[in-house]
Amino acid sequence: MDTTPRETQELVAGQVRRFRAGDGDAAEPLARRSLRMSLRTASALMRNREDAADVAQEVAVDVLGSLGRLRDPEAFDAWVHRITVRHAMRRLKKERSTRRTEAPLALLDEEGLRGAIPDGDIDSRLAARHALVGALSRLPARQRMALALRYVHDLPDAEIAAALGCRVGTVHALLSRGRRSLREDRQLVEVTLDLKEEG
Amino acid sequence: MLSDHDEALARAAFAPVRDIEPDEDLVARVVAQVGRRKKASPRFALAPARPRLALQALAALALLGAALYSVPVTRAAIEETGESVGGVFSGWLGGESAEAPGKPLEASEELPEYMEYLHDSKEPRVIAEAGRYKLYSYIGSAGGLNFELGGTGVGMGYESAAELGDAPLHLLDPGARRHADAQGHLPVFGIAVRSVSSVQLTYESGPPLRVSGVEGGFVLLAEPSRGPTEVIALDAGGKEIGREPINYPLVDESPQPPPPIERSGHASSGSHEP
Repeated sequence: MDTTPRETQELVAGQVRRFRAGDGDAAEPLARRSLRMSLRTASALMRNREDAADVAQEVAVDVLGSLGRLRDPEAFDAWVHRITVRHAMRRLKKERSTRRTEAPLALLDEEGLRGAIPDGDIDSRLAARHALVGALSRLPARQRMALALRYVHDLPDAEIAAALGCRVGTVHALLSRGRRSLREDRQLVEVTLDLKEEG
Repeated sequence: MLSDHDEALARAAFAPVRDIEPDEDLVARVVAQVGRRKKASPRFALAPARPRLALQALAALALLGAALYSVPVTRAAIEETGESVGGVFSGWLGGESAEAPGKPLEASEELPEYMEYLHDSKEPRVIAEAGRYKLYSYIGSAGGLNFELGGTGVGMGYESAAELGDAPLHLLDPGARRHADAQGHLPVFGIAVRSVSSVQLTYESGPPLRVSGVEGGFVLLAEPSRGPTEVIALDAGGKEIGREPINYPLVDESPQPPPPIERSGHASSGSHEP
């Protein structure tokens, strides 16, 4: 049976309380949830799968290591997003400073997808993924981050603002500029159009 | 204006990453790392392991591979996840005007003659006010961050927001110690993170002074005779966010005639940049 967001939140809050109380078994579901969230965010931002996995791992270890400082156990997801922003921004800065130019299509587990998804879909998704990485790499880091939080996690503006540590008005501006830049990226428009038509 | 097309495009563009799942190896690696850290801390006692053979095997593999694939985790890294006072100003300095603290300086605002240059500076703001004191901030010509306590001649500059540090609260100076108002109050002023909505000045004796409506900066009118001890930052719910001791004399031990205009009051604040 599907759980509601509220039920999920309560379940996670219970795991946080158990973890804080010393229940080591609570580590695995919390680690998995943190990894899932941060891996998706980082995958939308990083140039390769290894970097995204590195960020996700750093975030998960930090999240679990700092749960004692989380006042409200129900704010676990917000805590993960906030720490993800910090780690991803740092990684993006480092990436920029090392002037990496390669953009491998490694973010989707291609081998894992084969068999589960028809070949045509995989090609379209990889092409979309490539185009997204290219388009995002031309945006300022905070715009990228705001877009990822909105379109990967469906976060409302207020929660994006909390994760980025800025005002809601700034989030509006970041999203607006980001969407405009994406719209002006012809390659991205073409491949996402293909993806939508196939879907 | 957001169009349905833009929204649909953005949603489609990010669709490929919305269903990514971490592999079991990655999960096990994190669990192993966290387990090791917990074992190192007597505060956490791990519960007896349940017979989850697959997970245990993966955790063992992760331990073997830890030397090849380790991620440094430091206390500093964790602390960096919190709000910092530098962060309040970094977005503004980075060009995001909507991030700016306080309110814009009105063109009609009357300033002391020596401060009129503020009207021509980049994005001058009033970030706090109390009594006759106003705390101004503006971006210098070289992109640095500057503060002026109006009417006192006290100003200070920072080359970047990072110089403000990681604390949630930062007292700007002892710089105004000779600038008591008519009632003998001395301005204690500073900046605070966005979640701080009020600040409280405590004394060695008597009730504290609390000021609400903090939006990036504050000015407190301290009574030096009661021995101010520290400034405590509070969020909207009254929870403490941070505190800073007042470990400098508010009153000069050897009174001197007021100097013409001070241009620097903070030992580590760098050069003032008009």
